[in-house]
Amino acid sequence: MIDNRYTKMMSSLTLSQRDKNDLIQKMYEARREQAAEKPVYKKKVKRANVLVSAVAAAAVLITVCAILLTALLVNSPADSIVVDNPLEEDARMYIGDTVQNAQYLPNVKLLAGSNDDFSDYSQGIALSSDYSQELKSYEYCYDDKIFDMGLKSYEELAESFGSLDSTLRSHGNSIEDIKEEMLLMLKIIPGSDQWFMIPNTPQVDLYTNKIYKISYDEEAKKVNMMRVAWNTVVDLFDSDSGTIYSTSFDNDCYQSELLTVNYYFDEQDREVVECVNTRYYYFKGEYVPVFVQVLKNVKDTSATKLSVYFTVENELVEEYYSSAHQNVVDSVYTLQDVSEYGVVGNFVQLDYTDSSDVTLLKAIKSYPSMFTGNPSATNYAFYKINGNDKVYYAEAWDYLSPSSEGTCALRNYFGERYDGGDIPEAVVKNILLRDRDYYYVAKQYCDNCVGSDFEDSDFIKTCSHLKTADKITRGEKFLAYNPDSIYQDENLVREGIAASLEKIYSTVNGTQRDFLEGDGNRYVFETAFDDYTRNMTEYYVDNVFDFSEKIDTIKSSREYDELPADDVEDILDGKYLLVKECVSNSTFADGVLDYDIQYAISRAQANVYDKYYMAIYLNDYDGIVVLDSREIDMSKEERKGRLQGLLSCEGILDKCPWILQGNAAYAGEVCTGIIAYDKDGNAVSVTEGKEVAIEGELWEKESVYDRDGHVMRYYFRADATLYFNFYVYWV
Amino acid sequence: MANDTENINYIVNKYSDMIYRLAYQYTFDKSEAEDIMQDTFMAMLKKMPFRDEEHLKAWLIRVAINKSKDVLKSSRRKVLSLDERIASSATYENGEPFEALEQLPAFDRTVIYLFYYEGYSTKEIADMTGKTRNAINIRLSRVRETLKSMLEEG
Repeated sequence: MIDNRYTKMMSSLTLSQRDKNDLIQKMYEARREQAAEKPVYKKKVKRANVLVSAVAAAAVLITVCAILLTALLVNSPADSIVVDNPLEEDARMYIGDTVQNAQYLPNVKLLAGSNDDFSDYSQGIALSSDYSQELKSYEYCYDDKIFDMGLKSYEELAESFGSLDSTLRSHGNSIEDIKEEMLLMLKIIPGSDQWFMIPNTPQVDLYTNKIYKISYDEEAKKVNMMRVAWNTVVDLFDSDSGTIYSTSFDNDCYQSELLTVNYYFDEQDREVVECVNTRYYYFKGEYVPVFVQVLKNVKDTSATKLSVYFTVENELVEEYYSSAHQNVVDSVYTLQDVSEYGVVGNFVQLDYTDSSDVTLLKAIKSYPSMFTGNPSATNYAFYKINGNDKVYYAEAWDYLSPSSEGTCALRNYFGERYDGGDIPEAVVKNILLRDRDYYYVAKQYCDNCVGSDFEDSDFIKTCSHLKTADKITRGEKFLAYNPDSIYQDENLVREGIAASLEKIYSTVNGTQRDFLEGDGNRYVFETAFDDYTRNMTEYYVDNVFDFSEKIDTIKSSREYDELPADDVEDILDGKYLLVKECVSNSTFADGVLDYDIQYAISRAQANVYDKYYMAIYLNDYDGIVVLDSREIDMSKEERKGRLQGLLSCEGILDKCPWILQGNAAYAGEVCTGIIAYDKDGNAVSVTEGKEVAIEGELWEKESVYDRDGHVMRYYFRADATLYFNFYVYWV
Repeated sequence: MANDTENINYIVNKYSDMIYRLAYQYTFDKSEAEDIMQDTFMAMLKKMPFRDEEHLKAWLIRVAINKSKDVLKSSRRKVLSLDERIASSATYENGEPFEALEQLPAFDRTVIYLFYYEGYSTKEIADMTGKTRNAINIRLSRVRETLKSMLEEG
C-alpha cells in the first residue's frame, strides 16, 4: 500500500541519538546564557519624602497591611511566586496600604443619570456600608456593554450606562476588582516598568496569562497598572531560581483590549481612579480606534465623566457625557496627532470639585500609538453587500504588528467600493497595504517580478521594485478599467467571508479555531479577534446593510457541518450523492476551453437538500476556480444533464475572466478561493462534494497582455497539470 | 504534561525526527534539514513555555515549515553539484532515492507527511496551514494518486 511504503520511506529519515544529545546540550547552554542575561532591577525613583514619612508613620501598619493583603489573597498561592524585592518593598507597601484603604465610591448614576440623580446620590456619600455594598456591584471601571452594543450611537452608549444591572457583574470590571487586582500585582510582580506575565498558576488563575506592568510616578502621586490580554515578549519570573526569563509569546499575540488603571493619590486626600480601556472598532464605515475613558473620582464623585473618542473622515470626534455640572469644562481633550495607529493626545482630567480647577495630570498615550513596526500579520473580513442600487464591498482588516517593545497592535480598516467602476483611491490604498496585494501588484505590474519563480504557494511575495504611488496607480488602473475586476475583489471577499465565518461559527459553536497564517513565529488570532469579528458582523447584519440573505446563504452552506455524517470522507465517498455517469468531451486548445460534460447523478440516500449545484472548475496546485456552475434539482432520485460551454482566453487578460488575477492558472501560486457564483453573480460557498477528474492538460508557458501592453506571462511548470473537474456541491 | 513541555530532553527526543523529516520534505537536503531542525528547537527555547503538548507540537511544525520556506527562499542556499546532491539526499531501503517525493510541490509533501506519517486529520492540517479542510482533502486526494503512480513506476 502506498501508505505503508510512504511510512517506511519516512521512517528511514532519522537523527542519530548522538545528534539529538548534541542538540540537547546546545539548548541547555543557550538556556544558561539566557539566564545569565537577566535584567538587573534598580529602583527607578527615589522615595519621596512623603513616602519616607508615610512609611515611617505606617511602619506599625505593615503587619496590618500584610494581613490585609493576605486576606485579600485568600487561598492565594501567590506565595509560590512572591518575591522579596527589597528595593521596592517600601514603596510597594506604602502604595499597597494606600490602595487598600482608599475609598472607592464611583457612582454609576453620575455616568448617565441626571443632575437630579446626582443630587440624590450626593446624599449617599454618607457611605452607609450597606449602600456602598449595594453600589459596588454596579460600579465598573469600564463596561463591555459598550462594545456589545456595537457602538450604535453615542446616545445609546450613554443610555446603556444608565441601565447597568447585575447581569454585568463580571469579575474584572468593578472598581473593587481593579483594586484587588492592583494589590495583587503590587505584591507579586518583581519589578516595575516592565511587562510581566502572570504564569499559569492555579491559585491566581484569574490573572493567568495576562500581562501586567506596574509603574510608580511619585511626582504625580500615581501608580499605574497596565494590563493586556497578550503581548509578544514578556518576562517571566521564576521564583524557584530567582531569575527572570524573557519569553516570546508572539504566537499568541492577540490583543483587542488594553486596560490602564491610573490610581492617583495625594496629600490633599484626593484619590482618583482612572481607567482607560482601548479597543478598535468600526463605526459608520470609518476606521475608528475607539477609546472609552471612564474617569472616576473615588472620593468626590461630583464630576465623573465618560468619553468616547473616534475619528470620522480623519477628524477626531469626541462625544462624551459628563454627569457633572453643566459648567464643567467641556474641552477636555487636546488633540496632538491622529496617526494611522490611532490618536495621540493629552487629556485634561477634570478637577472633581470645581470647573475652574482643571489640572493636567499626565499625558496619556493612545495605545495604538505605542505600537510601531511594519505590519507582519493580517486578518480580515470582507463582505460584499448588495444595496438597492449599489454593490458594496466592506473590508475589515486587522494588522498585528509586533514591535521591538514587545507589543502588538491591531489595525483595522474598512473600505467601500461602489459598483460601476467608481473606485475610491482609498480602497486601492487599502488593498495595497496588504502583503497579498503587494504581491498581486508585483505579479501584475512589475516587470521585475513577473514570472518570478515562487517556490511555495503559501508564501506571499512582496514587490520591492515599485514605489508605492506607482503601485497605487497601476493597481487602481487595473481595477478601474478591467470589467472583470469584480473578480478581483470577490476573490478577496470570498477569502474574507470564509475566514470570517470560520471564526464566527467556530466561536458560536464553541469550537475555537486558531487562525494560523504567515510566519508561525508571529501570531495567532484567537478569541479576542473572533469576538470582534462576530460583533462587527452582527452589527452590520443588523444595522448597516441588508445582506442577511447573503448570510443565510452562507449559513446554509455551513450547515454541512451539522449533517448527520459530517465527515468529509463520507461525502467524498458519495454517501449522499452518487455520480453514476460522467462523460467528458472537453478540450483546451488555443486559449479556449470547450467543455461538454454529460452526467447522471443519483441520490445515495435521503438528502438533506433538494438543490445542488454542479460546477466545472479549474484546479491547479493551489486551489480552485469555478468556471461554470449549474443548479440541479435533486428532489428526484436521479438526474441526468449536460454541461456545455466555451470559455475563451484570447490573450487579453480581461477577456479571460476565468484566469482570475492570473493566479488561478499559475502553478505554484495562490488561488485559495472556494466559492462559486450563481447565474445572478451571487456568490455561494462551495462545500464538499464529489470530485471527478475529467481531463488534464499540460501547459508549459503562455503569455498574455493587458491593455497597456504589459506582458502577463503565465509560466506553468512542466509538471503543472491543470485539472478540469466536475464538482458537485450543495448550497 | 506541563512539565514535559519544558523538558528539553523529552521534547528533543520526541520531536526532533519529526521536525527533521518535515524540513527534509522541503529541502531534500539532510544537512539543511538538520540546520532547520536545530534552528527550530533553539527558537523554541525563546518561546517556551507552551500551553500543552499539542500547542508545542503545532508550534514546532509551523515554525519548521516557515524556516524551511526561508531556506528555500534564501539566496544563500547552497547550490549543490549533482554529486553533492546525491550524497545529501536521503535514501530508503535499497538505496532508492526520494525522487518520487521530490517531484511533488513542497506544500503537497507537507500535507502528505502530516497526514500519513504524523497522523493529523485534514482539519488539523487545514488549521496548521491556513487552508480550508476542503482544499486539504482535495489536495490529499490528488497527491495520493500522483504519489501512488510515481512509486509504482519507480
